Amino acid sequence: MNLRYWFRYFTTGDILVIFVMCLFAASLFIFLPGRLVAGGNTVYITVNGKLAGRYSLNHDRLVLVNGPLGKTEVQIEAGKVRILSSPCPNHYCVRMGAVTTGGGALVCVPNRIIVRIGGDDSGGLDAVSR
Amino acid sequence: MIDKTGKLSRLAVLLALATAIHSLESLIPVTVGWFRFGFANIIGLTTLYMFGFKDAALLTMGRILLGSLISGQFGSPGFLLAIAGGLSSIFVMGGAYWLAGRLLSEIGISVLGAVTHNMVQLWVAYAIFVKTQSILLLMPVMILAAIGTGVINGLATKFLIKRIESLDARNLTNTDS
Repeated sequence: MNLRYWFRYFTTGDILVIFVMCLFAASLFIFLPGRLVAGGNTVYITVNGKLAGRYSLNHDRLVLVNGPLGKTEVQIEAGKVRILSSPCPNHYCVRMGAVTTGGGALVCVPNRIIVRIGGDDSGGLDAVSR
Repeated sequence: MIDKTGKLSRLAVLLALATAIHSLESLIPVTVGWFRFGFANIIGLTTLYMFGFKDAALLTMGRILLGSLISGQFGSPGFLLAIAGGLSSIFVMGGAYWLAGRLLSEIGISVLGAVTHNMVQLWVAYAIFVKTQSILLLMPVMILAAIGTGVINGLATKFLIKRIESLDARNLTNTDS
């Protein structure tokens, strides 16, 4: 297929439109992810199934969460969340490491604490356009 | 050039074609979730060029109503998306044709329509159904896809209009003589 053969069907305006749209898409590629990720990522901490706190993933801080066994230290740093220390016997939650923007959760069963990452309100696909 | 009856019968054939394409297109297997070619828009754009905006808008409405009745989508979320995308794109194409019909050929107008269609659909899907901001990340991908399908549909429209016109010319000379 010869590209020049097809080229003659395009007017200058067509090329301009296509170019502008490509530029538009490219700029969205660059700007959109930063804005969305910055606005939408929240750390939810629940104790015994009840929401104990909501924190932005973008602000570093240390959160002390009161569970049935005592205080669990949750650290938010550089867009990642990890459990630093916990009064539970096995420290599985500490060894779970860090979760980040992609989603995921840290769970400490003995101390009834779940640290979860979600958007403003998370949901999956509800509709498919046909 | 053509009388009222001729126009009516032509619009009827175009609507039937658009409906058929609309319904048949849902049978094409797609690999990427929401990706569609929007071939039915070829007919919408052809109508815009041949009969003007009002008929093109009516044809798009009718095509979506009939097509979704056939494919069993009527009243479903997908139907709402199709209506939103179809109407907004025909409005933008009509506007672009009116404003810049001299500068743009069918290709440019088709690209504008396709981009509008995809953006509006994604936006409606976000606002009404999904409500998760992360689907807006699809926006640039949808725009790039729309550019591709817009060019293909624009070329097809060009050929279709040329074909209809050449057939017209032949028929007119035949009946006149």
